[in-house]
Amino acid sequence: MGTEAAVPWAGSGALVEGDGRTHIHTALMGASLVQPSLVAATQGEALVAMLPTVTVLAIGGGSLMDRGAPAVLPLVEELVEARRAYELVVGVSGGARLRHVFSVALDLGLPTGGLAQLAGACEEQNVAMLQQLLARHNAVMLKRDDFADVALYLRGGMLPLVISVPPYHYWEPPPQSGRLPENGSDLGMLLTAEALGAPRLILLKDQDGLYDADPVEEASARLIPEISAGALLAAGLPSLPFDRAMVETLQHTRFVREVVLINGLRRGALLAALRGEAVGSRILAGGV
Amino acid sequence: MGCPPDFADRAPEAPLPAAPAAAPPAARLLPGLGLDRTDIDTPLRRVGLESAAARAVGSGRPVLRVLPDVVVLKIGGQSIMDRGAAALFPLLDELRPLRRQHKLLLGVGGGTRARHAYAVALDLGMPTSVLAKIGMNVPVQNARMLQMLLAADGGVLISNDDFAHLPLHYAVGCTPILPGMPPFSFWEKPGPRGRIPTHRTDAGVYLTAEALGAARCIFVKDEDGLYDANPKENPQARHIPRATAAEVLAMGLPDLVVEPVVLEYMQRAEHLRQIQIINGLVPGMLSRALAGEPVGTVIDAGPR
Repeated sequence: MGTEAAVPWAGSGALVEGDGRTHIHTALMGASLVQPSLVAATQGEALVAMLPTVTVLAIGGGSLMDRGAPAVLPLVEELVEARRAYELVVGVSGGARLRHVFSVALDLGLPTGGLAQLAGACEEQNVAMLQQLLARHNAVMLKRDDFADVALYLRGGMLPLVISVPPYHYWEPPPQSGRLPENGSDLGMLLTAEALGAPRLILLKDQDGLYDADPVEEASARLIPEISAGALLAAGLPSLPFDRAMVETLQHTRFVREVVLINGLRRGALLAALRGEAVGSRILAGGV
Repeated sequence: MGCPPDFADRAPEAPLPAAPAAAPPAARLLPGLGLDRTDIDTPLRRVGLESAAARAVGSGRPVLRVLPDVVVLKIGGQSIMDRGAAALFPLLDELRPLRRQHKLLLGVGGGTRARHAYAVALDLGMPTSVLAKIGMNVPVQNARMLQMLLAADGGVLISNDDFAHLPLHYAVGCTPILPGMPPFSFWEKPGPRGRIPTHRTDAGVYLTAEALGAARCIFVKDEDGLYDANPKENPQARHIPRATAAEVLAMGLPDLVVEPVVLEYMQRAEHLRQIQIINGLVPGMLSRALAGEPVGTVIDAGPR
């Protein structure tokens, strides 16, 4: 707390008339909100984080959930152990069904916004299954409309589960190329972490971290233990194991300091990552 | 109200996308034993969704226009709503007969109360996510006021979840009114500079039109369109009747009549590759714009 704004944004709050419009007096009065100098001046310094003690976990749909019991049940056990010591918010992505519904929708010529509108349903199924498995350990569904209740859930000892994909729906911006929505589950969980003011997002997938090439295709692929978001984008890797939009946004987050990619098939990796040990790959917030 | 509008019997103008010459094989379920994944055999299986291969799937195919004859109008918050009756009543008088000839969707902006909420939030050290969240309430108030004024003429308030009901509203002659803010809320991305949300009501209304594959998107504001400077502060400002989105962005203007992100998105949009900005304070402009006249400023996406 104790934020000191360089500009007294709030103004007097008095009503101001005279140009045909009724304004409220603030530093933004009458502004179009697009002037670059004004926008830059709103940067601020110490911002208020909603719940800075939370860690956000994102479980891969295709990489983990679609493997069924042999992958999911051990991870569930580890989650139960982890939540005794850490305040966690957990999301899970869509997996094979997401790719199937996208394939059908592309075949039908549906627009990008229409595809984005379909993504959440696959995640809802995965979240529902995870909630059943973890219900006896206080797992509850945190709906988007109840997002501000997250403090109640956490302080009440709950394990909140969330839909990962951001709520852009039909309003998904046109992608840079192709038809697929760019703002997927990894980005959505980064934004959930940022909205919570959480310093870390841990992505659980089925590889040991970020590699400089596809480790399944190329035996010579090397693990990248740590890299900044800006450097990762500049490296121009042909493919990434997470949303490019997540890395782009990680350059500008104000609360999330790092995204850690770990292998959710390895027992102990999650607990090690939560303890801050060097496991998997750390993608650090900020530019090059 | 209560009787079908003039457009009720009109045949759909745009056909559905054509089927491909060869039907793709049905996707097979691939059961996963042990630790293997249970998968579905589709073109997107086992390719990174970020890869060029995934991005190429479906490219070259025509994309559906969901409601191709809808015209999306954005009613400005600060520019129209905050002026009250003096601006709004003549505009609505002009709009009432037009709404029987065109399938209109009204998107509504925020205005000075949004600026006040942003200013207080900035003072309190709130991040972009909170500004985007509280930015949603003021357009809802404005949309409610507009709905009350148009209720007797079939104005209905819709939310972002009501898109699938739009055909019903049009079939019975209603005019849907949507708060302009996109539903990003807490999930608005933090930007490279500052904390003001990048996607506000111009972006929300534009993306509404693009998602529908609407015929047009017209921004009703209190200026004749785009100028090379803010005409409210600089009487020498020169009006720009027509430009491409890239040209406008390249001008590096200190102020813009529309959110810059709209100009970025329209350059890569599938359907909505032109916007128009008109002065809603000048009688007749709305009618002329809906009749297809390039009044105000027309901004084109330019070549793909």
